[in-house]
Amino acid sequence: MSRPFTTIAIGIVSVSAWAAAAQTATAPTQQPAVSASWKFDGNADDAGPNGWNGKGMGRVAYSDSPIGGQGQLLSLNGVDACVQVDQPAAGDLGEKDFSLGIWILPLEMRSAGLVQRGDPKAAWSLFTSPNGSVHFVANTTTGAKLAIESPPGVIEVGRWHFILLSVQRTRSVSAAAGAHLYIDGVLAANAPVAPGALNAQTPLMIGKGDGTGTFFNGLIDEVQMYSTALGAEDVARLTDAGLPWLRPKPWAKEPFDGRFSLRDQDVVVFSGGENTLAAQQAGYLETLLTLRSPSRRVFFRDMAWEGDTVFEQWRILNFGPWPYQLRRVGATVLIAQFGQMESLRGKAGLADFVNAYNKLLDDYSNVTRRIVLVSPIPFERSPSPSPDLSARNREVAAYALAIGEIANQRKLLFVDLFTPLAQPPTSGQAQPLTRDGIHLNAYGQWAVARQTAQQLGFDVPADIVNPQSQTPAFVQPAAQALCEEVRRKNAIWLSYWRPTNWAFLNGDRVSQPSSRDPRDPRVRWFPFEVQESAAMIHRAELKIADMAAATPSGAGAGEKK
Amino acid sequence: MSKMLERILTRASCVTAAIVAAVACAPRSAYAAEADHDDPDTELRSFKVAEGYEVHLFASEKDGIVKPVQMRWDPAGRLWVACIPSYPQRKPTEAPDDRIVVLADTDGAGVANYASVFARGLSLPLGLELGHGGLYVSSGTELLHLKDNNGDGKADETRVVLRGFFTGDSHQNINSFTWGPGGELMFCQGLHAFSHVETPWGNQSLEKAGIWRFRPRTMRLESFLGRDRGPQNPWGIVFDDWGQPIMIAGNGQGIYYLLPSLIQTDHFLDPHQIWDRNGIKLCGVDVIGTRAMPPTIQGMMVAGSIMDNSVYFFKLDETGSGFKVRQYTPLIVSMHSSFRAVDAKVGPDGAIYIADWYNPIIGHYQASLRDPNRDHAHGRIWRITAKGLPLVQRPALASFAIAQLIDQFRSPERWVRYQAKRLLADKDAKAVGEALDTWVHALDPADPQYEHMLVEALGVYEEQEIVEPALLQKLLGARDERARAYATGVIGHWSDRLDDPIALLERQAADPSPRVRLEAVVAAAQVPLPRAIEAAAIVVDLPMDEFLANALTQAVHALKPYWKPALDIGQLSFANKPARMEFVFKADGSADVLHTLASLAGSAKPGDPVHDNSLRLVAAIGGPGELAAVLNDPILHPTDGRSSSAAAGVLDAMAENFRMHRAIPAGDVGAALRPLLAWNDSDVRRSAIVLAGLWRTEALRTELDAIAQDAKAVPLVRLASFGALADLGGNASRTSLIAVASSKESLHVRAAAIEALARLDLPTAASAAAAALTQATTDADVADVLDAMFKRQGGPEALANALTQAKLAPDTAKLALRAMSSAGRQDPVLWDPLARLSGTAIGPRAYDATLVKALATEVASAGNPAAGERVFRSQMANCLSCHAVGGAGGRVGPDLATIGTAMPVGLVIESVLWPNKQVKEGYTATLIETKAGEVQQGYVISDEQASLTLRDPTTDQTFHFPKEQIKRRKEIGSLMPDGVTDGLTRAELRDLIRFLTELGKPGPYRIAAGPVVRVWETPENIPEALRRIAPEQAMLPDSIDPGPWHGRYAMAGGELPLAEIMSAEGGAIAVARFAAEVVTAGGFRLKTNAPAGSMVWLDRRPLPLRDVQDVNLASGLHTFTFRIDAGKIGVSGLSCVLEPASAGAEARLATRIGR
Repeated sequence: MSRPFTTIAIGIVSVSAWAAAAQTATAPTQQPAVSASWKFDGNADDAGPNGWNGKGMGRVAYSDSPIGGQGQLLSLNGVDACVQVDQPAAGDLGEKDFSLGIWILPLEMRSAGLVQRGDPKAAWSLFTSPNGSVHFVANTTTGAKLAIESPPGVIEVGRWHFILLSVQRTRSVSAAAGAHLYIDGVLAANAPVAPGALNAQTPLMIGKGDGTGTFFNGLIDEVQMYSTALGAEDVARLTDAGLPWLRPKPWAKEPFDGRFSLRDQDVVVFSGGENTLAAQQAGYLETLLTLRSPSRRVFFRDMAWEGDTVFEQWRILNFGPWPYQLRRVGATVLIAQFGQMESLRGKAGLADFVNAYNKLLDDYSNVTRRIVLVSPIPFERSPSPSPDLSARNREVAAYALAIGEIANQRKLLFVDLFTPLAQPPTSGQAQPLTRDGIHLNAYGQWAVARQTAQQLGFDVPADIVNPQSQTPAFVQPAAQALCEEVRRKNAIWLSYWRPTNWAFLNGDRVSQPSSRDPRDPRVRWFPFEVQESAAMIHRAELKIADMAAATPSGAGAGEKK
Repeated sequence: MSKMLERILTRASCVTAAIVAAVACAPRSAYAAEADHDDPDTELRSFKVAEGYEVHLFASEKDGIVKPVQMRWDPAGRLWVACIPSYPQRKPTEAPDDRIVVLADTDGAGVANYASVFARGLSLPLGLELGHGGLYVSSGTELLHLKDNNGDGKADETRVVLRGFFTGDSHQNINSFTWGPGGELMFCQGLHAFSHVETPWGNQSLEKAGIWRFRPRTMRLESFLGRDRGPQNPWGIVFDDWGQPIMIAGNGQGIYYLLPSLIQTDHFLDPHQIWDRNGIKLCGVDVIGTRAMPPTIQGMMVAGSIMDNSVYFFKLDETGSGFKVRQYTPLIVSMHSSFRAVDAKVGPDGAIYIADWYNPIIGHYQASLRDPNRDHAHGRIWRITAKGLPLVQRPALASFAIAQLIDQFRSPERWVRYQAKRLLADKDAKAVGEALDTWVHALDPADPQYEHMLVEALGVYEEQEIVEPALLQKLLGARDERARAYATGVIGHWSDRLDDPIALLERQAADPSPRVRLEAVVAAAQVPLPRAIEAAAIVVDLPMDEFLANALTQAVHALKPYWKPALDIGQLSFANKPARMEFVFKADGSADVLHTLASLAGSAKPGDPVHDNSLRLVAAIGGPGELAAVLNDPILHPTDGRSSSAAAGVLDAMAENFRMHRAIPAGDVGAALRPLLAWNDSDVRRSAIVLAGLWRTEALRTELDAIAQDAKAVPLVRLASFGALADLGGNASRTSLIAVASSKESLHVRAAAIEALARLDLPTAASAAAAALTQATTDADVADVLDAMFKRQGGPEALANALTQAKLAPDTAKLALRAMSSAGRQDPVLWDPLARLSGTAIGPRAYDATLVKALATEVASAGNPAAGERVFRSQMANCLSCHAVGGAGGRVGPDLATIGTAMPVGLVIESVLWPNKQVKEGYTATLIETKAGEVQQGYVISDEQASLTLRDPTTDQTFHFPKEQIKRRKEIGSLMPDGVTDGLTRAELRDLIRFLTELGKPGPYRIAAGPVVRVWETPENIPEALRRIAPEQAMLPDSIDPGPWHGRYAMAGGELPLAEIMSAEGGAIAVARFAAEVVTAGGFRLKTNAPAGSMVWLDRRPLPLRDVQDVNLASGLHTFTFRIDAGKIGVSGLSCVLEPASAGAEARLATRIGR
């Protein structure tokens, strides 16, 4: 990693970067001994004790990495790029325990070597299969074979994965011998071990298979070897330190117990129409929730889309169904707001609405049961001759009520924006909340964010938000700066999640020359380039955590009891 | 200048040019075909400008004009330019920073002397237009309204107006904003934009390419076209002086009459293409209406042509209720490959301004988005004036009061009227209404412009959303049909606020002017009432044309939620006019109107179109009960023994019904069909045989078998019996078919029997096919036999297997390989053994980047395009069988007319050598296997929920497959076979590529505009009668017709090469003819280079041979036959142009030779 690692202590949790988990003593267990560590921060040097420096072969590239939110990664084009480590002993795993970890983001699902030693009779090889499985195969010096294979489909195109192989070959009191393969922090397979050394005479290869040349197409980071067999807790910690949202969180299956709360490493997903989408650009709610969370390591992914209704959430080609999309971002909390545009169908459409909403919630619940339903806001009177939608607020109220009932039945939390926002102001002139009767203006986003945070049980101290103020801004400059960083992060997220020229990235034009290298059509540039945004997002999130910690009222503040 | 000095100078400048080129090319990719010349003067010198006009640079990158894509004027005469340096894709690390630059020419010198950035930080703003005190502009997914409140020339207020416009392909984002005459903001979006927008009227979506209409005051947003209905890349909308909308698009034939498409419905109908030129893509458009331009071009459209570096004029001619377009002399043709005219606007001074995007690469998908040759630094605005005509003075509109602004509607300047309307939109509605009222009443009805001024006034009321029924009524009865038409359209806009819109529409739908009737249909489609369809259907009483028919069809679908419930309870009568009902129900086409149709059929007699058409509809969509009634209809039981020509149509409709819905009539179908097999009419016999098979009518087996074995039977009827026997199946059918398949009859008949047999017994059919192939001697024979096997799943494999037993001569194998190539088949299982038998090695080769690079260099240095064209036309390469050049040629692959300007040379090479590397959109073929084992390949032309439609480009036949009958569907990539160029030498390949890269570039390989004859026919043997014909023998003898004539295509330059058409035994005589279908009779001018001593006949009559000969042609098909005495001539090829010489005359020249 290029910059020195820092630990930021906030409250009871530490925001730690990758290296923290791997090398510092803050973790509860004994730190595993690293025998080799390729970080790919601009080169293929080994930061471990042996100095097994490698060299880039073919058109290797390095770019900013999201793993741990710092450093760089290794970018491999799938055609001619890999890393070769020529030192004779590089990659000797010996006869005893070892672990091997690697972060990968495949851009094409193929049979491709990840880390490999030995040819033609591979001493050992970690590789992916076209069916999305991960394999480790080793022939030891005694001629015995060690093989372990994950189920298919654990690896997906365009998504980061953390693969860790842990091999316990020496019997100890605490652990039985065995090989364990963890994918994304979860045990995916185990197998018996084989005696003999895993050493070979040939160079260690990263990103390429055996001599027939199965190049890996995608991104690789943090290849680590350990001289111990890591346990499940170590693996979980390493996973969370790399990408906190990657490891499935068991608590996502447990509904809120009647009150809202956020946990360390929660991923909050917003779903809804244009107002929900625009909320991420305003950033108010996210700033408030960040400041009031016990942990600053909460991540927000706004997946709302203009025109989304409970009936249809249209997505262009290859976005995949909701459970797939939610799993990819690691959703653990879902905040959904529907019913506004739907209410234009009138009371006659209410039964259909309830059915469709329940179906949608079934989909969401496949991934997380911690769900908040937000009611629609009242329509505002819009200037003639456009239709005066405020005349339809009786219908909006009926929809809001129905949503409340759904929440009640499904034991979900409910935020009622309709009732408070439909009240006449207690003092002074009512300031318009919308630009056209439907869509929130800046003040509207502000008012809705405060109301939502309040109903979620997050009190908003006066030194952060002036309750009398009609200006959408935070009192405290630090909080306002935080909000601006949130907006900046969300702008990157938006262009990452639904990028311009999608047709060439993931749509029906990926085989056209457009997304391919102008000089070598076998190589694509677009997916690699888009992945740079992922690094930017994670870095921005670490910065947001820093800023939140430094915001006086934010630090240490908890939820309203 | 001495010769010596001239030589030295020439050499010196060559050396300099070479150095410059080397420097410019050094960091560029190998694909760069030519050196870059980024100086505006260099570009200016490349312009060939139409006589009477001159071009000057108005602004360039020096003024901040970088990648200008759209431009609009403000009322103060400033030019607002959207610049998109980030196109096509900004880097993730960069924030969006596209911008709007404002230009002004404050001293009238014709050059921008003021440039200022109004807004930046935008994301690919492809559309902009001034209005409502600010600027409407698109940015990514949003439509924004930007304002400058403090007057510093920079936007300081941003309001999101609408959002949710998708950006799946960045050049297809919403674009080309323009105000309609009634204050509606019109804009376009392209193919990969799937937009979903929330509005106070509900969610509006437009998936894929189409048009948006937005009325800012009511926030009403409507979408039109979309799904697969739009042109892929609409890039401009313009209204003529009477408010008629024309859309242009970056597609072939990209000019459309938009009005009939302005109906919101999910029903699929293509928009109306009113131009027939392929291979040219348009972008940015305006209509000329200024005294600063010559009278001859008033009312014409001016548009940029992006592929061939040109700017064109188009004349809009009215035809029926719509328009057609004629292309005029280009305004600019450039030799500069970076000149890309993407927008054209007439300015306040009457000059024409052209936004020049300036880029050697335009394509979004032909080249990498990160191709280093893409320009991100330049851009120009060109200004074109008419020589000798004074420029016009711009009125100081911004300082005008309401009344003064309204009075600008008297102006002959379109620019002034348009801007006055914009300013009126910013004024108080009440004040505008009062001032309009005063002005309208003060107008002199005798003024020739009176009704036009009323139309403008009506538009202002519309913009302000003030309903003004009195003015509307007055215009609905205007003298000028164009005024009536406009007012009729307004009924649609105001229908929710008018007392009785239906009554108004009923009157307008019966107007003598087809244009008014069309507007009535489109307006009715916006009225959500049951009776709206009755009003629209009135137009059926008067002559219909394609525009009316399409609009009414769409109205039927758009209004169905309103009329269908009313129909079901008997509330719609259509004034008891069967023709109106018939049109509506036929257009609707769904089974739920069957009952009404059946009673319509019953109410009239056979021969009456109402009867025949209704019956055919019932036959097409009815169930067993209705079909039984159809079989009993008098049309199939003529009492006078004479058959109606409609009878076969009714039977065919039942066959289609079976294929789509598996519907079989109730009752004894054998008894019903048997008498039909004895009819005199062979069409009826064939159709009945087909039905006997489809319905598995075992009772007719004896009859069918007899027909199959009857060598004297009409081929049409007999071939149908083979299929029917195969449908019946069983050993009896098999025996019967084997007898024919292995007979001594013609290969055409045997191939048909083999095809049928293959459905029952593939190995035996394959053996028969192999045996037949050994006897085949012609391309047609071989193709027939191969086709028979290709239609069967496993057919190619079985044939390959059978061929191991047969002795196929190498030449026959070659014929077979050629037939496979032409059919777009390259199944290796059959191809490889045939290739072995033919003794030639043909097949795919591995991709080789070095070869591409090396060949690109050779192409540039040594390629000979003339030699390349000969290769292109040769039997060996066989390119023309699939590709057209400027419309002449096959339609299997894309038209190549502008390939040289669309693709860098490297990509051309790759496309020729590895056709499947990247397949042009729309040319990816799909292979369908049905559950019944049929195989068909082609292009998908519609993919509905329940059915799939495939067009086989080799035969141009269309096939519908119900989805439930499809077993397997596979994309098979390009139909272009690998290895088509394997037989070529390196030099031939190099020349071929050079020819392709020249196509479309300025020079001899740019396809000339205009009615050039490109498709000819020549006789296989020159008829004796023509060989001996003496000059005094005037009439062309009948006897020349019978012999076989073969199609010939002219070369890119327009000449039919005499060397290709001289037959060895013809001596010095060559004969060629072409056909023209005259649509509108009138005077035409035939221009030819046929040399003295040649003879020309128009149909049978001799024509005097002159370079230019005027003829009058009646509508219908005409043939021009040439007899050329080649011995006397100096020309290498024959060229002909047949152009209209009198108003309205219109003819279509054949552009295709049937395969």
